[in-house]
Amino acid sequence: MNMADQSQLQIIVFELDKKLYGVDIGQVKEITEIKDVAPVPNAAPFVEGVTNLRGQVTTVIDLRRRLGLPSKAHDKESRMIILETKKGLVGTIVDSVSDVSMLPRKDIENTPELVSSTDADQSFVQGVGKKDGDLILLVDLQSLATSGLRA
Amino acid sequence: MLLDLTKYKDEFISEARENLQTLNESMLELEADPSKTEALNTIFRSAHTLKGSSALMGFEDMSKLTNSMENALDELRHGGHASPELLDILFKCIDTLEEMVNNIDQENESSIDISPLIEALTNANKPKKVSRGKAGKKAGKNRETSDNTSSTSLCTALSEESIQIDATSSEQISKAAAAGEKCFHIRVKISEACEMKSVRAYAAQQTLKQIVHIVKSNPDPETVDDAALSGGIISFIVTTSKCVDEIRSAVEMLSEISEVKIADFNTQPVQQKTPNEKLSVEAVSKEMTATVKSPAKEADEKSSVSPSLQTVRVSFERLDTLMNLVGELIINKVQLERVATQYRLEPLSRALSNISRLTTDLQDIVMQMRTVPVQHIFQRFPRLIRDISIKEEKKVNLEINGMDIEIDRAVLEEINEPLVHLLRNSMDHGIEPPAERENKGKNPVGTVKLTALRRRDHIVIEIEDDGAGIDPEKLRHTAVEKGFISQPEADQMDDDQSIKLIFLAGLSTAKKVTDISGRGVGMDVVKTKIESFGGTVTLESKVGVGTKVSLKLPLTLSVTTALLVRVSNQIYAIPVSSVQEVLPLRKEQIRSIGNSDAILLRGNVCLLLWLHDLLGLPRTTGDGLLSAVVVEGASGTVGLIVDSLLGQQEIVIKSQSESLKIRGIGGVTIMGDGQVVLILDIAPLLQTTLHQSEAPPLQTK
Repeated sequence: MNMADQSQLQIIVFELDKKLYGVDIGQVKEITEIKDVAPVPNAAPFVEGVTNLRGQVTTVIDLRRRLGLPSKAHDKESRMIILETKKGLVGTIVDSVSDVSMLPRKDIENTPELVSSTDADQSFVQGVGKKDGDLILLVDLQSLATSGLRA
Repeated sequence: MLLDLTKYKDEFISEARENLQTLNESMLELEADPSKTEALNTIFRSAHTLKGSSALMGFEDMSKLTNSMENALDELRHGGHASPELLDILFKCIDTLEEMVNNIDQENESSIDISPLIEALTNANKPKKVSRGKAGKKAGKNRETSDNTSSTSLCTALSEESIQIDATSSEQISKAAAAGEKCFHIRVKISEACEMKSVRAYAAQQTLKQIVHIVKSNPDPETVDDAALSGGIISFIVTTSKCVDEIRSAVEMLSEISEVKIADFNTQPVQQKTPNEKLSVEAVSKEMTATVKSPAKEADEKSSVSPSLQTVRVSFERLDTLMNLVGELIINKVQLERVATQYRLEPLSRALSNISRLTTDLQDIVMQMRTVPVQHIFQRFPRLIRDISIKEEKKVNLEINGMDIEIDRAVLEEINEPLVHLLRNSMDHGIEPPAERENKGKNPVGTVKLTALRRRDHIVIEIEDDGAGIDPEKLRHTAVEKGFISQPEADQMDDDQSIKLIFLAGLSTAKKVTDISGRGVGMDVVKTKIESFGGTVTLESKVGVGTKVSLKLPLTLSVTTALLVRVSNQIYAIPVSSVQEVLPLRKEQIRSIGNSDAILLRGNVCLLLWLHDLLGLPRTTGDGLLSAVVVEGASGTVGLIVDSLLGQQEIVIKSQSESLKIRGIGGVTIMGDGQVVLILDIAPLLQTTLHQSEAPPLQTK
């Protein structure tokens, strides 16, 4: 992590339903393509299943379903953002990953009203960043991925 | 010394636990036969080692307690009476020490009050003055003789390096003896890491000179060089009026001394007749042997070095990692094999077949490394049985067989609790009080047999007692009373079926039932636990004759054989331990009974469930050729309908992510091609659905 520069936040920018989202790079282990996912019966509805990440069993959740967005078939652009959580490895499926960028903290605003357009639980929203005229919704993927899972 | 001792803590703990185990075992031996000096010596050694290492680590309470134990034990070795009270106190000491070690392990700072125990130990010793070593007892001539004999029989340690003494020296010794002084043989071992051994040897000599009279040194430190001291061992013959402890602590104060052994020096009367001949020193009794560091079990210098180099302690965590890596290696190898076949790369295929052999060997070895003999938990049971038999005033003989059978450590950990439970059951409810047994014409001493057996691909552990047995009639009665079954159902049951009722949750936990049925606290808990990792429990019992419980256990938790089945385009693994049989099934064979599907299986009705339904997947429509996997449910056999069977295969069970703790899913495995497959946990899977629908009737034969 950028220990040196506290005035900026390094984020991974990803896309869901044509909107931009950002996650603190510190939360992310890696980004992979989506491989075979085995569905898990009787699991929470947003759990896509489990996959094999180089020998480690990884739970996969569909972030669109998690956020109550309309679902969409995976395509070439689809990616999995892998997080190392207290409950083990979790992969979150997003439409695409577009960028890794530095976001000046002064460009981040705490304006939760802005996010009422989605059904996301607002406690997962950390703020809204402005970049090149676009708005990026900063989310806490870790808690988004683990809350609602069993155990 | 500012040593960081924390890094030795783990080593200390595991060593202490080993010593405590030895203590427990030998105490039981001693209790059985108080004249067994061998056991007593082992106890003494272990207590002594514990004392040394705990003092070194700065655990004062532990070293104080072990010191008191040592005193009491020493008294025993010199003809003291091993009264049951004293043995009881010693057992309590061992328990307390165990608790202390656990506290240290868990970094629990709470201290245990040891003063009552120490007092009890001292009181138990009252008839004689407490003394360490023989020093204080040498006065009486009679005793001296008896000591000589005992020390000769115990002697092992120093005998191999005899000191040669000449006539002048022996004269000095006799003079000193006449003046009431004692003669000791002191052996000092300089630590191997020491760079200048001769300097240390000289220092040791100078230190001793200040407190004792040195008759003879071998080799002589004043002339010796480092080369001659390569073994690092110097022997001194000294005469003194000081006691052993004083000499020892003086020498131990020196640095780079790894071992100090002090023994009585006895010139043999026969040899004294020919004073011109050189006399050789023999006789070292083990109780006089003190070491700064705990030595290897037998004091032979050569062998004390090599065994420690032949074994290495490795944490199970690392073995698990190794196991995982080997699993990965195999999966990747399979991927390579696919490439080789796909592109017809002959040389690659040949190379891969060699790699295949290697990986298989590698896997076998890692698996073996994870196994430990069942002894690890079996050895605790004699103590358990002893305690219960005293508490319940029953006489029991515990027979243990198959101590050396090896089993995966993870499995072993899982079965400890169920085994304790079953043994308790045998003691509490199985074995009758001696008087009752005699009335029945049985041996007043009951027998509990604990046996481990290796069967092809699993381990069987049997707990058998010759106690009262389980009365099926009473079980039926209670089950009806508690509403588990109806009276007509009970009337139809034969005794074998009735005995299975004991596994019903809630039937056996009630105290009243225990009293009536005479057995069975929480048998359902045992069954659930054993089944949770793919084992099975069977129980046979005959009223008045006894009960036998058999646990069938997988060799390892991480690898199991599973039946792979396809259910609406997904593959699932069912552990073969839960599978009774598989059969082809055509849709038209399925019959409806009420709301349920069923099939006639060898004339019996077998309930059918669609695995699709249980897993929330769409049922297959189509040509109608299906398969059924017959499994044992909580209340009889059930056929699970699947689309097809893909065969039987060894699977590596991957650690399950926390987020996947879903009822009915026992784990996850990764296939050779990298595909993730869920392992079904049949019993809970069936339970979820059976609770939803009405419970099916018990299958009647």
